[in-house]
This record gives sequence, C-alpha cells and structure tokens, in this order.
Amino acid sequence: MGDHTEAVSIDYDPTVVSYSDLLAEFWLGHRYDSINRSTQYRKAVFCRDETQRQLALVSREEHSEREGLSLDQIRTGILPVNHFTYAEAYHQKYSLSRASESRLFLESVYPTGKALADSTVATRLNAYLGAGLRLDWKALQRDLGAYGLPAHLEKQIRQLIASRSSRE
Amino acid sequence: MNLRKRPEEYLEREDGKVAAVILPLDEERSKVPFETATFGLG
Repeated sequence: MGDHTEAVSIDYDPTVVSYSDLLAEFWLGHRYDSINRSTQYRKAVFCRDETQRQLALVSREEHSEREGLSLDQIRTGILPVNHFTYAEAYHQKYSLSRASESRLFLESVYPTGKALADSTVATRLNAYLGAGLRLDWKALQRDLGAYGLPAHLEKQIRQLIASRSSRE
Repeated sequence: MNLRKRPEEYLEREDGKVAAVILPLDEERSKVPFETATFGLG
C-alpha cells in the first residue's frame, strides 16, 4: 500500500472503438484541473507504449485548447503503466448489485476479481444496470438470450428492463 | 504466477489473457484481439 493508484483498466476491441475515443471520454469524465492530493487517487493516463503516450499527449493538448486552459492548468499526468493488479471481486462491477441474484451467479462462475472483471457478460450487465435508460435497452433485450444466464435470472433481468423502460 | 498476497485473497496481475471463458458469450468474446487503456480518475 502507499505506492499504488486506484485505476480503471478497459479492454476494448480496437475495430469498434479507438484509444483516442477513450481518451476523449476520459477528459470529459474527470476533474483534470484539480490538484492530485495523493498517489492513490491521482488522475492520470497510464500508457502502455509510446503510441498511447503520443496519443495521450495530443489529446491533452487538444483538450487544453478546447477548454481555454494552459497545459500547466491540466493536472492530469501522462505516465507509464508499471503493472496493473485487479481489485477483489467485491470491488468489481458495482452496478450488478442491483440484480443481486445475477451477481451471485456470476460470482459463482467467476470467483476472482480478474475473472469477473474480464467477463463480457458481467461488464455488459453492469453497464446496463448502471447507465439505465441512457443505453439501448432494446439491444439488451435482443442479446440477453446469448449471455448464458440461467432461465430464471434472464427472466428477472427482462422484467427489470421492462419496468425501467415503462418509466421512460 | 504474478500474485500479490493479501490476507483475504490473492490479487491477480494483468497478464494479457482473458480469465472469463465459461459462459458462451464470454468464450466467444475471449477470442477477440483486444487492447487495453488504463486511467486514474482521481
């Protein structure tokens, strides 16, 4: 403890979304102008290679210009990744707790933090349950059958979707 | 194995492999060549 940073690591399909796309979302999603008060909670792009580093530098400059700020006012670091360690399973996929039986099932299938984090099923369910109506519920309805959930859990998720959709 | 031991659980390090391959969708998606982006959000 003491020398690590709490971070999110995103495994993505580069044919669908680019690193630059993710950088753009990153700049919009954090307080880039506030001081880093600790190593544990610092704001940073952790780069895995020189290509990522260069893209991060360009995106930082573009963001500062867009916001009318000098680079000095952007407190977010651009740093190399040392190594990434997965948090425990109970730290993963927070929004899955809204469908507690599904979460218990997924944790029984994938009992470690890494396995649960790596699961596309867990990731998508977590996203839908967390983002709510901002995501395409019809796509979830369409694709849910392929997730491999037990029938009764699939039914619960569909009922949850239906109740949320009706509130739109 | 690259593990950092804690009293409750061994914490795994990233290894470039997909650990979730049991459910059908996960097994299918584990074959997709992926890249990784890492951010500290503060």
